This record gives sequence, structure tokens and C-alpha cells, in this order.
Amino acid sequence: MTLPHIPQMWLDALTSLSLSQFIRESSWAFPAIESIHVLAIVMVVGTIAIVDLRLIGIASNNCAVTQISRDTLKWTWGAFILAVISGSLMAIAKIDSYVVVPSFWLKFAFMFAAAINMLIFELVTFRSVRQWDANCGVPRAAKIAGTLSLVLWTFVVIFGRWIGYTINFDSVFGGGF
Amino acid sequence: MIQFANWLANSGASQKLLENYWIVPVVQCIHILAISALMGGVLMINLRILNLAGKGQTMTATARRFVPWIWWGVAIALITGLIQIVAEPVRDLVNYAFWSKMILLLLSIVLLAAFQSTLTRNLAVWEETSSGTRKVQVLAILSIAMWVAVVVLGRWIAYAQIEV
Repeated sequence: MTLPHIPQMWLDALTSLSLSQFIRESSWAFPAIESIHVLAIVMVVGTIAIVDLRLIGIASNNCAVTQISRDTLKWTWGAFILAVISGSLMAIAKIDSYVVVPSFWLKFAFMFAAAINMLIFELVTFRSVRQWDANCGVPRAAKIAGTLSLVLWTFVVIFGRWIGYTINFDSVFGGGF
Repeated sequence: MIQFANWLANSGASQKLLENYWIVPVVQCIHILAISALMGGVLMINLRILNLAGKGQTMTATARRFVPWIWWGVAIALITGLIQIVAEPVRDLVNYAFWSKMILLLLSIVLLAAFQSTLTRNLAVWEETSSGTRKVQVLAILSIAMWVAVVVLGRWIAYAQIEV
């Protein structure tokens, strides 16, 4: 698999930051940041799933789509920001070892796909929400968006977890997924 | 516990799981996804009690929607967790992070069961209330804090291993 190439100069600049150095050398910083990262991600996925399941028609069908979005999405975004910050901190600390891992890039590819899916839903499908907000007649496009979102975020979790099984696991996992 | 962990590690089941090295990471992914489902539910119910989310729905409606998802999440997490214990018994069973997690998990489950039972016994009261009483709100914060600690300690298991 050909992975994107990041100039060595940039990688060096990131790894030599005193912040990265601290995270690398501290005995507790990396596990602490990683714990926050996992916590943030389960909250992102857990709250997104609530909206997705409503769109698909599996759960919360007695609750309007706009209302369930209002209730969950601010928490989703809050947790997402936390995940981005903690993820960036982990990444800069060991960026050399991450950029050569296929799962690392695949995780971002699936996050990107999830973002596109969300944008299409927000900008196109959601515009007619008034017609299907409170009843079960969610349009097919919204059901597809909900299903895609669940699948894509599942893959984000899978590849995220797989990063940890690639670094220093070359002999077992062949360096990639 | 070390003896038991060693005995389990030498068992056929544990050996089989380790030979098929992909099983543990796959099971961990399912574990994380199950925890996501239950965390979503935990957040929505407790935020509803704290009046921070879901005000359009009654307390009972919110509980009816999310409590089953929490139980299913717990069930799947327990099964996938057990598989991980069998695969790497020493890593998990001789580990203070693991046992702290188990204690908090047990307390969280007891709190959830207590919530469910008071809900069914005082259905009318819960249907009417717009938010929890002060006491219930404190318990809601405690519930979120305990589940957060369960997740953090879960990740910490990997870092609190004792070399035996």
C-alpha cells in the first residue's frame, strides 16, 4: 500500500517540539491522553449513533429528528473537539511511527468519508426536514446517511484500535491491516 | 490470583485465542463499540436528569429509550471482556486498574438497576417531574463520573500490567 509521504523536515519539527518530547518521555502523559481520547471517541460514536438510529428508524421514533439532533449534537461536537486535541497530542509525540502505518491513514480516510456524508446530509437532505421531522416517514436519503454514518464511524474505531496493533507488532500483523 | 491467571493462561482456550492473534484486537473493537452504545445512553439519561438534554421528552420516555441499550451494551462488553481475560489472564487479573474498573463497573450497574427499579415503582412521579430532585441529580453526576472512570481505567489496564 502506498501511503502519503510527509516531508521528513515536518516530522522532525513536530517530534522535536518540547510538548512532544514531554509526552514521549513522561510515564503517565501518553496513557492519560490516550484514555481521554478513548473516552471522547466513545462519546462521539455513542451520541452520533443515537441520531443515526433515529434516521434509520430503529430507535427514538417518537422523538422529532430536529429535537434529537439538538439534544445530542452539541455533546458530539464537544467530545469530537476533545478527541481531536488528544489525538493530535498523541500523534505529534510519535508522528514518525504513525505516518508509516496504513491504519493511521485509513482512519482519517474513513473520518473524511464520514464528514462528506454528514455535509451532504446537512446541506441537501436535511433542508426538507420539516416534512419528515416528527413522523416516521424519513426519506430514503436520510436513512442511507444514517446507515453510512454508523458504518463509517465503526471503521474509524476499528482502524483507530488497529494502529496500536501495528506499531511494534510488525512481525505479527505485517505492519498493516 | 496469579496461580489462577497462570492456570487460565495455560488452558487450551487461552492458547487457541492467542494462536489466532487477530481475535483479541477484533474483540477489543467490538468492546469499544458496545461501550460507545452504552455511554451514549448513560449520557442521555443523566443529562436528562440534570436538565441539560432531552427536555422535550419525559423522564420515563428517555429511560425507556436508553436503558435497554445500556443493558445490551453492558452485556456485549462483558462477553467481549471475558474473551480478553481468557486470552490474556495475567495481563488483566493481576492488575490494579482492572480490579478498580470492575468495582466501579459493579457500582455503576447497581446504580442503573436501582434507577430502573425506582422508575417502575414510581412511574407516575417520574412521568411528571421535569428534572430530577437534588439527590437524584447528584447521583446522575456520580453515574457519569463512574462510567468515565470505567472507560479510563479500562484503557489503563494496558499500562498497569505487572511483569510476572
